[in-house]
Amino acid sequence: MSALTLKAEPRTVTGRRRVRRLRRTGLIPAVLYGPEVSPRNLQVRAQDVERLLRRGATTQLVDLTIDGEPQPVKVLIREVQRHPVRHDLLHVDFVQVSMTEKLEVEVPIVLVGESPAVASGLGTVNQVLDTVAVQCLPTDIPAHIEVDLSQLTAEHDVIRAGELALPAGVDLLEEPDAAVVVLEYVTEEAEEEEEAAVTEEGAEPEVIARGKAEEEEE
Amino acid sequence: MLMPKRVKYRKQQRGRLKGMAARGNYVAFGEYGLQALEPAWVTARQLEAARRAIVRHLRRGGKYWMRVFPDKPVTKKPAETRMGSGKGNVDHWVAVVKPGRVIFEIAGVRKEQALEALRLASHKLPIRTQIIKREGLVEEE
Repeated sequence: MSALTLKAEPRTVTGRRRVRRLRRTGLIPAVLYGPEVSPRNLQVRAQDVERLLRRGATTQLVDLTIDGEPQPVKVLIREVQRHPVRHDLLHVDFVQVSMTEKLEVEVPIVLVGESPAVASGLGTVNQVLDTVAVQCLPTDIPAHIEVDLSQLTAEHDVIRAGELALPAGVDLLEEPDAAVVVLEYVTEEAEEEEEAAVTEEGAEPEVIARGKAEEEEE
Repeated sequence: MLMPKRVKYRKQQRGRLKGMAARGNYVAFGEYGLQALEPAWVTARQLEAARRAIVRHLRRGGKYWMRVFPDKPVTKKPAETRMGSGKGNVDHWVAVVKPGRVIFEIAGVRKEQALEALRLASHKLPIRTQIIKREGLVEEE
C-alpha cells in the first residue's frame, strides 16, 4: 500500500456564508487537531478528499502537507460531514497522530464467505455493527476486519465482538458480548405479515392523563 | 393502518416543513435505503402501500426497516359543514418527512432485488425519492 498524501492550505475563511462561498470553488473547510497540537483551520480540495476516502483514509495514515510548511504531518480522517441529500462533502476533521501512542479508531467490518444457514434458506444475515472500535498504534491499524460468515450456523447464530480475529497489537474496545452479525430466522410471522400489519382503521389512540382531563373540560 | 397507541393530545397544529432532515438522513440498519427528496406529509395509508410493495417483492428473503412513523394526527371537518364550531375530528395520521429522510431500508437480499423493491415502494409515495446505499458498503460485483 502506497502512502496516501493530501495537500492543504491554512484557512482564514470562517462563518457560514463565507464558507459556503469557499465550497463553491471546490474547496472544503477542514480542521486539524490532536493530543499535542492546538486546533487549526484548514481548507482542502473536496475531490482529493473523496479520492482518499475511497482508498480508506479513515484507517490509513495520510501525509498532510500544509502550504508553507516543510514537513508533512501524519493524520487520520476522523470525521466527515456530508450534505444529507446531495451527499457531497461539507467538512472534514483530521486528527494528528503520535506514532508512539496508541489511539482509538473505528475499523470497518467486512463480511466474507457464506453462511450455511442462509444457503439452506433458514434465515438472513443481519449485520449489527458496521465498524468496530479498536485501540492500537497508528502503524498497526487494520484496513478492515473480516468476519467469516461460514461460522454463522443454526447452532451458533450470533458472532460477537469478542470472537473477531484481530491482528497482533490491536485491542478491542467494544464490549466482547456485543453482537456483530446475527442470523435472523425467517419466521412464520414474516410470511403472514403481508396481511397483518396492525390495527384496523378508525380505532382511536388512548389519550394519556393530562390531555384527557383537558378534553373533558371542553 | 399505523398509528400511535397512546398520545398526549388528541389533535395537533399543522406546523411548517422547513429545511432538511437533521436526523435519520443516513442508512443506519440495512444496506440500501429510500431517501426522500421533497418535504411532505406521508400518510399511514401511503406508507402501508409502500411497505406491502417491499414485503411482496422480498417474499421471504431479506429484512426491511421503516424509519418513519405516522405520529401526527390530521383533522378534517365533515363535508358540507359551516366553518367554526371548533377543530374537526382526526381523519388520518401522517409522518412528517423532510428532504434527506430515509424512509425504508432493506438488507439481506441481492442488490438488484433490493433496488427493485425500493423502486416499487417509491411509486406508492407522494414525493420524489432516491435510493442510497450504506456508507462504506462493499458491493459484491
